[in-house]
Formats: sequence, structure tokens, C-alpha cells
Amino acid sequence: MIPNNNTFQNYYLTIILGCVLTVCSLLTLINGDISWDSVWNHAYQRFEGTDSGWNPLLDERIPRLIVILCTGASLAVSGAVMQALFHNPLASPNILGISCGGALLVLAVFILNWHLEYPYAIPLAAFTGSLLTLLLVYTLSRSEGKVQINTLILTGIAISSLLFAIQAAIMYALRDQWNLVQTLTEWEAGSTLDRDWKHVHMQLPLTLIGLYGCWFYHSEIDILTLGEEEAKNLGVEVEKVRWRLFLCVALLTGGAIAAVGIIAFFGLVLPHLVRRLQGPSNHRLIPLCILVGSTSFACLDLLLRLFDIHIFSIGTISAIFGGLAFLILMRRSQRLYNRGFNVK
Amino acid sequence: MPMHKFSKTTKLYLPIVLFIVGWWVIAFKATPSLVEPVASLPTKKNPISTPADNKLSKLEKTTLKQALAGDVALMTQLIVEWDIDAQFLQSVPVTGTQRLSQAAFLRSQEIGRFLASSKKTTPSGSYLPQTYAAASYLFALVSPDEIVAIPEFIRNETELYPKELTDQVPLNIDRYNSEKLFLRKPQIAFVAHYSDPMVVQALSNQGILLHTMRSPLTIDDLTSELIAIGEIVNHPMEAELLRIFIDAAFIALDNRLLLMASNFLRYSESLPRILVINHHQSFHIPTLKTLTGQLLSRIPDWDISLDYVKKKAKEQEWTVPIDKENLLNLDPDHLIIIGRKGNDLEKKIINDPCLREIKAVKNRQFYFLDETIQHSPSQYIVLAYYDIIHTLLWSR
Repeated sequence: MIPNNNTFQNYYLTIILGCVLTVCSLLTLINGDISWDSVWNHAYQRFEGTDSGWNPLLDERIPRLIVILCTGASLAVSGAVMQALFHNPLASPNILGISCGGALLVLAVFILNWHLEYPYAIPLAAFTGSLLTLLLVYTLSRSEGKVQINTLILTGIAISSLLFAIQAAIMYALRDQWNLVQTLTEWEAGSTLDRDWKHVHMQLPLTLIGLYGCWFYHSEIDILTLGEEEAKNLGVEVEKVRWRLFLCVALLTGGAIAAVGIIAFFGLVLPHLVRRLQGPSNHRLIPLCILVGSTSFACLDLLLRLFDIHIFSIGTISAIFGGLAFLILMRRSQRLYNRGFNVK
Repeated sequence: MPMHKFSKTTKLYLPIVLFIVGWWVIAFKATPSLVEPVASLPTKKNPISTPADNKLSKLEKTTLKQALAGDVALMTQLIVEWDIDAQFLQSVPVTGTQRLSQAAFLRSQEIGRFLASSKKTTPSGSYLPQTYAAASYLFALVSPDEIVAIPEFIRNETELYPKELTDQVPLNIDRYNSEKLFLRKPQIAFVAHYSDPMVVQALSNQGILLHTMRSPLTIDDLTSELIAIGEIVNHPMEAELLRIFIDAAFIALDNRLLLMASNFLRYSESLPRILVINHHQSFHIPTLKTLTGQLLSRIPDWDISLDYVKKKAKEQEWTVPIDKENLLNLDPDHLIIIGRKGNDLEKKIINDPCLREIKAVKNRQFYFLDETIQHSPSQYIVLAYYDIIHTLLWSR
């Protein structure tokens, strides 16, 4: 079989992204105020069993890198899956209120001050909030035993707005407790500061299952993009597959919220971009989204650290870049459309 | 059939749930603390004095707080005591000892005597402090009967504003209270540049005079606003005395720190290095733009927080985030954490594998300070300085 241009493009793209990711990962591991020699020596001594103290490489930089990679991959893949399921390039985990639900329960954990006593309360709240929201949206949009995609989107937007309003009401009620407001603001802005193995444990099981689930159903996702009727005719159990994929998205989003906080636009723009580069087949789209998501998130974090930029958090800078990228893509699509080209 | 479906669903979901829950149970199972819990805060009643320094007057936080709340007799008495302390320290000699200028000292005593001898007038004013600082100053300068309403959160800060005091103020400043406030006929409202423009306009429409307060960015801003409010509410002498008292209190605390430093240097080659950090979701070092940073600039021989800010060239920011790796790299002898008080944070620090490697944590030289006082943009900033110095004394 002769490989086509698209295959070559994918091949080079994967190699380039792999190289960038490797460089970013290495720099993330090396960069720090404590000198690399000292870090490495202590790490080596720990492997030999002669040093049991805290080590920046083993106890902070490696877990932080894992959290960054998991978050980037989770957000990009969940966005890709949502866009495919809704046949809508504007879809993201936010559209069903999944992120809002997760964020609301995490907010409650912070207000009740449980996060210090019970570290697992945050991932549990993030995942439970995401899942409960999903269940609520699904139940409310069910009519005569069926779920119409348009009803699902509208219900999702309504629930999302409601949850956002509840969150705003809580913040308003707590406005005098500025110390708590400051904690919540910092969390909502997203951060990769001081991520350790605890955060990895919060996120990794959710991410592994979520990513595996999305990959497992990649053929069904491809068929679902043809439309529900066609998918049913081709033997896909639409409702069941869709529900399971939503669960996977809830796992991925919940894990990312638990470990890093709220990261806007990432799940919206990256899959859109990757789909433009290599086409809509989820067989290639999902792995590439994992790679692009991890690489771009690692790059952003590294840039913030290397240039010591404190004015932005990883969440705010992602939102700014994501928003700008989205605007550029939209303008470009409009121009192409006006010229009479078919936009992929 | 439904039973079959249930069993099929269980077979699929149960392993997934068990995988996640199992992972979390193993990862988050309670690990015993490797470090014994530290006695959290030094006892507040412990005065700043040392066995070798018995000749100095007692300086207790409660006394200081009472004076800052507007006790004229106590203010004049303490100013005299601190001046005597300074003279004693100069005679030792303790290098760098400061005294209040003669003019300020005499003026404080003159005001004290005048206010003690003058007849008490019946409260006649009616003021509406919309900001924290204005309310704090008004509590010190005028009778609570003259205050129409206060921001609601001040009622929760009972350590600075006792319930008996705030209960005398009938209303809270609330967006639904404008008519009730109008009925109380406040003469002057103290607003800030960040006040809601609609509220400010409404107050103006009601014929209430407005005084826009300056942003409390520096300690000088705080004291000059104090003088301005004193003149507006017709208590200029009380305001002037309070300003002199604030200056005197800072000097008295500086002098005690100098004595403490000379005592330290008798037994060790250098002073302990202290690092002050804020804690919310993560750790931040206050810069010189904050009041805490300005307090730290008074103790450059001890403090390493501002050095870190300078090294990072982040003087233009309000706070600089610091991760655990950098905290360990700085390895301070004393760690002061400003945040929400509570044992949970203490546990977090003690049980954190990185933080417990820091010298200050290993040697139990870490302290929590309540941010209500540390970030108070009012005369109580003196108590914030007292608390920082108090932790150093406790470390001895």
C-alpha cells in the first residue's frame, strides 16, 4: 500500500510533536531553583537507599509533569469526543455543564474546608459533580425513552447556566470572606504549582479509564458522526455508546478539574485544530489529541515557569491563547466560506 | 431479562469503580505524621520582654489593642513608658535605638492632658463609614452612637472589634438598606474610589456629604487618612494623638527587636533568617507593595522574603508565588505563615514531605498569623508588626 500525503503529514506531525514534548518534558524536569547536580545526586542517593529526604525531581517535578500531561490529554480528548458526538465543532465538556458541575462541588469542598483533611475529597467532588450533572442533563432530556441530541444540548446549556448562577450566588454570599474568595479565585484560575504525587493519584486513575474508554469506542464515534439513524443501521447501540462516552468525558474532565482547576477553551480549540490537520477519523484523532494536548499544555506551563510570569495562571493563559486561536480559526473559516470553498 | 442486564452492567462498571476506589484508598490511606505537632501560636498574652530585659516596660498585645482602640490615657502612658525604655536602651548602649522626636512626644502629652481635663461632649455626629479603614478609625475617634452603619464583615472580626462595640451600631451597609440609612440622616459618608458608583451617587442624591478615602497603600497613607477623618469628624486631637501613638509603637517595637538582635548575637554568629508567606491555595511572598512587605522592610537584618522578591525582580507585583522547592531552597530558620488559622493547615505543613525538610519546620520554628490582623488597613497594622516580632521572641 502506498502511503498518501495525509499519512506522511501525520507521520511528520507526530515526530515533531514527540520531539517538542520530549524537550518540554526534559526542561520541566531540569528547570528549578535547586541546581540539577544537587537534585540528581540526591535522587541517585535515594535510589541507593542512602537518602530518604524529599527530592525536587522525584517528589515534585515528575508528578507535576504527569499531571500536566494527563490534563492536556484529558481536555483535548474529551473535547474531541464531545465535538464528534454532537456533530458540532463548538462542543466541549462545558456544553453539558460537566465542568460547571465538577467545579461547583469542588467549591463546596473548599468552603467546608475538607480539602486539607481529606485530599481525596477534591477528585471525588470533581468527578461526582461532573457525573451528577451528566445524569441530570441526560434524565431531563429523555423523552419517551429517547434522547434527542438537540434537546440534550439545550438542556446542557440550561443546566450549565443554572450551575454557573449557583456558583456566582455562592461567591456573592461569601464576598466578605475575602480570604476564602482568594482561595477560590486561585483555584478557579488553575495552577500547576506544588503538584505532587497526591495530585497524580487524584487524576491518573480517572484519566487512564477515560482515555481507554474513548479509544475503545473510536470506531463507534466515527460511525456516530454519520448520524444516529445511520449508526443504528450499522449496528451501533447509540444510546449505550453515547452514555459510556459521556461517562468517560466526565472522568477526564473531573480528573483535570481535581488536579489543576478550571482550564477553559483547551477542550474546544485543540480537537478542532487537530481535526483540520489530519481529518475526522477518530482512530488517528484521539491519539493525536493526546499528543497535542499534552505537548501544548506542557509548553504553556514551561513558558510560564521559564519566563517567571506570575500575572497569568495556566488557566488564564490557556483561555487567552484558546480564545485567540478560536477567533482566528473562525475568521479563516468565514473567509474560505465567502470565497466559496468547502471548509473541512 | 432485566436481571441479566443488571448483571451485565455490574460486570462492566464494578471493576472500573473498584479500580478507581482501590487506587484512591491505597494512595490516600492515612499516613502517620513523622513530626510531632508543634504548639501552634505563641500564647498571645505573653509580653514582649525577656528575662534579661526586665528594665523594659511590659508590652502586651491586649494593652496595645486597647490603646489603638482609642484609649487616650493609655496611649499617653505608653508613649511615656516607651520613651523611658528607649533612654534605657541608649544607656546600655544598644546601637540604633530610636526615640520619638521631642516635639511629637511633648505634643502627645499636651493632647493627653488637654483631653483628660476637657469636658465630655454629648455625641452629636452621624457618620457612615463605607470602608473598613474608615469604620476602624471612627470606632477609635467617636462614640459608636455616632456611627450609623458599618460593613457587615467587621462584625465577624471580633478579635479587633468586640461584639459589645459593634452591637451599638444599628445597621449594616447593605444595598437594600439605603432608605433605612437615609432615615438615620448621616452627615458624612466615607467612601473609597472603588465603591460602587451607583451607591455613591445615591448617597450624594440623598444630600449626604461624601469623603473619598485615599487607597491605603502605605502606612503613611493610613496615618494621613486618620488625620483627615479626625478633622472631618471634629476630633482632630484624638486623631493626632493616635497617629503619634502609631509612630511611637513602631519605634518601641523596633527598639525591642534591636535588643533582641544584640542578645542573639551574643550567642550566635548571625541572626536567624525569617521568611513570611501568605497561604491561600498556594504560598505567596508579599512584596513591598503590601503593608506586610512594608512591615518586613523594617527588619532587613532578619527578613529574607523581600530579598527573594528582589532576586526574582518582581517588586512591581503584590505577591510572588513560591513553590515548595523554592521554600526548601531558601530554607529559612523561621517561617511565618499568614492565612486562615486552623489545625488543618498545620497538619498539612507537618505532614508534607517537602515542607518538613525545611529547617524552620524541623526545629518547630514556624508560626501561623491571622490574616485579619496582618492585612488590616487601619491603625491595627501595629498589631500585625507586634505579631511578627512576637514570633521571633518566642523562638528564643
